[in-house]
Amino acid sequence: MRLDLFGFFLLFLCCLASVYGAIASLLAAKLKHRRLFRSAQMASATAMVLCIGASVILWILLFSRDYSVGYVYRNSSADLPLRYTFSAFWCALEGSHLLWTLLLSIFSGIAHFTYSRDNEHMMPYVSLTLQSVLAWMFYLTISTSDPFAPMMPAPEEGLGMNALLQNGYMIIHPPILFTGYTSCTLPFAYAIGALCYGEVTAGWLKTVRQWSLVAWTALTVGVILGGRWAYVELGWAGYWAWDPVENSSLMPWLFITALLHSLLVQDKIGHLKRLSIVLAILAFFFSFFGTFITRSGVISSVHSFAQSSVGPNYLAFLCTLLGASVLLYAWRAPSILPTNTEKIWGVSRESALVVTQFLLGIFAIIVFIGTMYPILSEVITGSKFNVQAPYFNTFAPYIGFGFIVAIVFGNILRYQAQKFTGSRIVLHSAIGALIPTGLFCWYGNIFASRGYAFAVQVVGVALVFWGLIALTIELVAFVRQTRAGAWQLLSRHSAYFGAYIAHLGVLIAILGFLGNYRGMDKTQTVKPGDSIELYGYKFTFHGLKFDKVENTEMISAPLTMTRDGRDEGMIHPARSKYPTKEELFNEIGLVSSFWHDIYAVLADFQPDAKDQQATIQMHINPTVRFVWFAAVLFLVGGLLCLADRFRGRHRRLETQPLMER
Amino acid sequence: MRNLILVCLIALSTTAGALVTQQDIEGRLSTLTPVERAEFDQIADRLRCPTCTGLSILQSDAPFSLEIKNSVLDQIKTGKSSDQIQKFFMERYGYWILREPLKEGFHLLAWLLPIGISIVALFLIWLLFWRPRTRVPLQASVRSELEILGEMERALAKMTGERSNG
Repeated sequence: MRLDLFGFFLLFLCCLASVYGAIASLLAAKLKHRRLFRSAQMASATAMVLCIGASVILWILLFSRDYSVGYVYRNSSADLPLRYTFSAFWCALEGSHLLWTLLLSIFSGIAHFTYSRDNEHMMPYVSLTLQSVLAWMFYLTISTSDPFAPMMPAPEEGLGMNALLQNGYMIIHPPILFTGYTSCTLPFAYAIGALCYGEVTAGWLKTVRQWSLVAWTALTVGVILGGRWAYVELGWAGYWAWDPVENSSLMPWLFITALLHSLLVQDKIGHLKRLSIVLAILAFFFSFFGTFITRSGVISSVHSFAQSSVGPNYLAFLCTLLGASVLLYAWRAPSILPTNTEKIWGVSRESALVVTQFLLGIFAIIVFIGTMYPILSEVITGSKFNVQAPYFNTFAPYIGFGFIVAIVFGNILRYQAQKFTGSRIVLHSAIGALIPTGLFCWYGNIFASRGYAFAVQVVGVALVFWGLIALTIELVAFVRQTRAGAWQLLSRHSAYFGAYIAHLGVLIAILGFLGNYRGMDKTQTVKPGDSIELYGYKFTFHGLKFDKVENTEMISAPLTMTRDGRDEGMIHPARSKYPTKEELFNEIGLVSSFWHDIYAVLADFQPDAKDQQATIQMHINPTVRFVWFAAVLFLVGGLLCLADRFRGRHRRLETQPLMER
Repeated sequence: MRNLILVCLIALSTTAGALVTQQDIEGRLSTLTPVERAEFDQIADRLRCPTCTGLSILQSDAPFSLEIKNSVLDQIKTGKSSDQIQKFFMERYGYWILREPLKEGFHLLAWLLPIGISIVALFLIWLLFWRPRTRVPLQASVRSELEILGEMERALAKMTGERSNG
């Protein structure tokens, strides 16, 4: 049996099922027809199952090295290790589009069968949205982005996978990140559902909160994993370059974070419903935006190896979506009113949360302007400009410090408070923060910085410690006040602890980011016996080493490290050469500790035994480990919030069933 | 067109003499005074590496970056200021050699827009949420008690009248 034809056929069926599902749910909504909605549910389940089938087929084709399929030919070869054959599924355009569609069809299927009773009347609209998006995605898999397109005559050997993608991060980063992106579609579908239905129900809040948390957790972990990968692979000693694709993974994250906080206000005082809807639409729109700019080649970036003709398709899709959403919102949003118009926004937690939305929104706007400005400038003035790190770093400290202040006041202030009662906590935390700040600046060598960098770091460290202490005082007060056992506390107030840990993660991450202001580096060409001296360390070069690891040749320059005479071990910057490629890839030498990473790159080398020399780039990157630790905190916080069985749930009002037949 | 110029420049530099190597740059950097070194770092951080994505020439050791670094060092030695050196590269390679938009003319928009939008947004938040609102008391009913009593009597009379009739 021609498996690839069968795979294509399955995708075609999925497209049909999604188109049918969209039409059925539209009719179910208009005619209030229960059985039509049931049919749409079945269509969604069908699309999910068949898409899983098609994906399994692609994997079978990859593992069996069927080079008659173009995608398998272009992305694998006989010597490709098993785990990379698995990740070859998503390593190029067609496969990664299929991965996105697969995840979306699975989440859509789950959403169709796990909705709250409150949302019964809204579900046809939700289904319509989900199935329309899926119909479009499936249409692309059978037209311009077909993973099963044949390659005739079938070649003997495949082209092999891009060596940059042959590492562990490629196995986990895309699936996690795509989980984040695709789960942004569900709050969007519910937002459209609310607009069409004309009301936001209690069940809406619960469901959208859960999907937003899934999206948030996956996006946070995915984005930071991407940073970690760039750090260990690309060799420029940084983890975030404000690359257009990195930026476009940050923007949906910002909107989903804003959505979560808006839902919180909605939960407590019934306001900001329309803001939640707007944020859900924006998060979804930006989750597709990144894919659009990489695949259209409109902006060049590290991810730009995936250019194709799919670009104009995505642009049309995004513009239609945005236009339709704006029109729908303008027409229907006035019918969605706050639950209680008596509430006043004093010096309260709600106000702090509104300020948080403002900060997140402004950050997203800055990132968007920075990403799109090269295009805008070329169109309007004809001159091509770049917007790289310096632009974003101009604004980033203010936004970051704003976040810290918002987090502290957001946690200290009470809902519906009229005046500020937290002055004691603020003062005590400020005093308590003095000593840790001083110690941190001393041991972290911040006092060696000068001028603007020094000011930013000192203010930042002080704010972080102030925040850490204030949040902990607040937490202790909360625990004391509830007077329950530890397990009881955790199970009843999971989300409170989850939020505490997530906010802790923000503070620790900011502490880690501040390290970028005092990094140092040195490039030196050394012969055997020479040493490089940097930051009190002495790195001695003893000669090049040649090894063979799996299918690659490794040329490394092991250096012995000493610090003030003490032996600190070794570091191994290296280069690797794959048999089928000409280029050499970076295998950086990395020794991490609490205060800093020692990061060594073998920039160049002369291998002749008589005249051996190597050019080593030595970097000292302070507090990078804090950022990775923050990722763990975010993950734990997000999961704890998801595990909360009480947040967002309200006693359900028995509604009249509006669906007749 | 830009690419053609770059390719020609690379070709020229390879034929005009030995390519600048990392060691040459290292050597020249070690002869700078601390003030000159700081100036070099500042200028090099503001120019982009033409063949890399997202890096400055300070961060990169690509061949083209090394050429530009060499040129910057030459110009520092002749006593040019950072602005003059930046202008030199802008005229030679176009605005594209910079890492951020110029702070003049249309491009000032990129810098002012975030600040402008922040101010507008904060004003809107004040308008929507924090503006002190005066409460208007409900209008007291203007109908007097006498009128209401009169109406009640008439309605009662009508009802008793109907009963006696029916």
